[in-house]
Amino acid sequence: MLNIIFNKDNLIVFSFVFFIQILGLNFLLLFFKNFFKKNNLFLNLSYSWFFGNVIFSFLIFFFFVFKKLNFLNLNIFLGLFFLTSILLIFLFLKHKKEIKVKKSNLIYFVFTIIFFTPLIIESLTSFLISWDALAIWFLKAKALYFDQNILPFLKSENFYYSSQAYPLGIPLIINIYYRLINKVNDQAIQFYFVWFFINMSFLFFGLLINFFDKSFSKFILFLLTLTLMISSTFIIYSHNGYVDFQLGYIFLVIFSLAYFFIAKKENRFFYPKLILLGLGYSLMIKNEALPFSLISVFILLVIFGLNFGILNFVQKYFLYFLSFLPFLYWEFYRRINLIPSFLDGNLIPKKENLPRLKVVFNYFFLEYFNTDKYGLNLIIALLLIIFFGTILFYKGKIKKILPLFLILFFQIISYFYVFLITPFPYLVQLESSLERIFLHFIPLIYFLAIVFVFEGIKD
Amino acid sequence: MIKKHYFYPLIIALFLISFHFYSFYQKSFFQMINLIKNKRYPTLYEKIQSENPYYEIWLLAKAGKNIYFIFEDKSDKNLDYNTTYFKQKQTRKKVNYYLSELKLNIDYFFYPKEIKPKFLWEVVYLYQGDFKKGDMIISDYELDEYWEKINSQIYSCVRKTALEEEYDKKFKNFYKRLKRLPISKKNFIPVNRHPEKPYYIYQVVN
Repeated sequence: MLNIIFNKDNLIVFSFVFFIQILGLNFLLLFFKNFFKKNNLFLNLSYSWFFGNVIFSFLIFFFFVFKKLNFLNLNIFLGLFFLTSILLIFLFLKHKKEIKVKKSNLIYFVFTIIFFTPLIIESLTSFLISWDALAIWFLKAKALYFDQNILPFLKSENFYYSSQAYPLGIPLIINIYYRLINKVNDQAIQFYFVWFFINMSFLFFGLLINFFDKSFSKFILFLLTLTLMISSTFIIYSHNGYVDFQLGYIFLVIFSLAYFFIAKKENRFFYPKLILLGLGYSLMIKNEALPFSLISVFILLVIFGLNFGILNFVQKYFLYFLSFLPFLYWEFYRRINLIPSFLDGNLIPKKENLPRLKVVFNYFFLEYFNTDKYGLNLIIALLLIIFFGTILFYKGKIKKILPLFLILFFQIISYFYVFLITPFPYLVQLESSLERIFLHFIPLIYFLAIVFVFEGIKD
Repeated sequence: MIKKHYFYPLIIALFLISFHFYSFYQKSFFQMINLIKNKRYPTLYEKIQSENPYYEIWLLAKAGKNIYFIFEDKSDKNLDYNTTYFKQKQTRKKVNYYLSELKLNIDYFFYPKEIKPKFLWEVVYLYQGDFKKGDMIISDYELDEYWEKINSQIYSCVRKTALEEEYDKKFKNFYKRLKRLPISKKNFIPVNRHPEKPYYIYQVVN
């Protein structure tokens, strides 16, 4: 096993992932210090991984736009890694007294890593074989590695199947790793993918500690976290090269930030900044982030409109809307270069397609109760949401959680809408994508259940 | 009053149920390590890749060989939803694009080189004159099967058109120039994966 850990490509991928993590830690410590100080270790680890990816992806996209990807190589990376590490040490020493890291949390951190070590090892020792990984994400990464101008690839008739209209966020990151090692290694980079899985575990554990630290022992919360994370679908998609699990993680982070923004009574105006940055990043990953982003921005506007005024919102957060630039640039780029999306020009559902709704609903229903894939988790989550939702309704506190519910509902409805307008044989598309669609919102359902229980038993 | 520790057995039971499924995967996590520990390849990447069902394709791509790809299985079963009814921007015409896992792997491993798939009849009639010694053919159709068929006694009794006879003659000439290369047995047993369709590799020997 040691020869796997100390393999040169693997050591570089570890450094690459830790660099992104450190980038996120620095970002939060520099610009969102108060947010960082309030969170426990696990929330900070997970949010820093997320925002590390946000910052790094924006930066790489900038390089892509100006065709400067060739600028990045191992020496430059090591220099940046060194500088960010120094900055982290400096920031940590500066805020040492304010940042409390509990010993018990450190022990559970080690436990989590040990528990998932087999999965991490598997990610480092798996060849790439999944359909979408080969057809879309890793093929595009390879194209970007060989030529920073991806247009000839997108125009090639031979690769029409590679969903050219999909955004380039993940392929850009993979291609940067290839540039560091100066070759294609689609095995080692799977560690980057599995790190999203580990960070989703951190996030759930951090959230459970945040909500139930006083009610339940940490060990029980740890077991609950593992219960949520080790369902077979999560394991399969943790590093197989699909990006749906990663998108689910991104949605979960934004969803949790939206909840904190709604639930906190004071010192909460930085949350929309984080949410907007996160939404901009999510749009760089997959098209499915569009309905999620639209409804999230709409809800932010409504909350501000009702409480503080729209103008206030625009003044405060205008700058953060710049995070949507990569998405807008990509949309513009693909349209002027005639790179088609299957949804182009098909936005109005035909009347004869309406009966599809019933079929799609049945498929969703069966998938939701599939215990082979999700264990008992989704069923229990639904029962908890119904039970504690009723309690919250009678307590008059349901209004608080309604925006989250709306985001989830709108996201699910958007999939129904796609199946109404798709030009493909919809049943084939439905059957082959249903499991992956579920990955986008299962974490949100778990989160809603946790929040409903928390709000239900509070007071 | 319900106390919090009343929930503990329930949470532990839930964990054990989930863990039961997880342990099934956990067994397979170290499968690859056990398989590769005695392999003698220069890199860890190749050791792992040697268990890939398409390892031989990867080897050909790595060696930079001149490749012909015979893609016969263009049945409707092979129409993927990504590629079916693709609306071409200029013509607005729907075109079927056939895709198989073999083609996907060839495209991926050989990129940036584009290997255009061809029907067997195209190769037999149009391209065999271009073949040079050392060229490789990847095929999703077992050429040996057709060779055996046209050399069988029953087949010799079947009445054939002039076109069929010409085709068989050309095929025989073509087949005689080829040597079938073995595809190594892979020991890795993937979890949750359909078995891949067989493919065949031939080398042009004269």
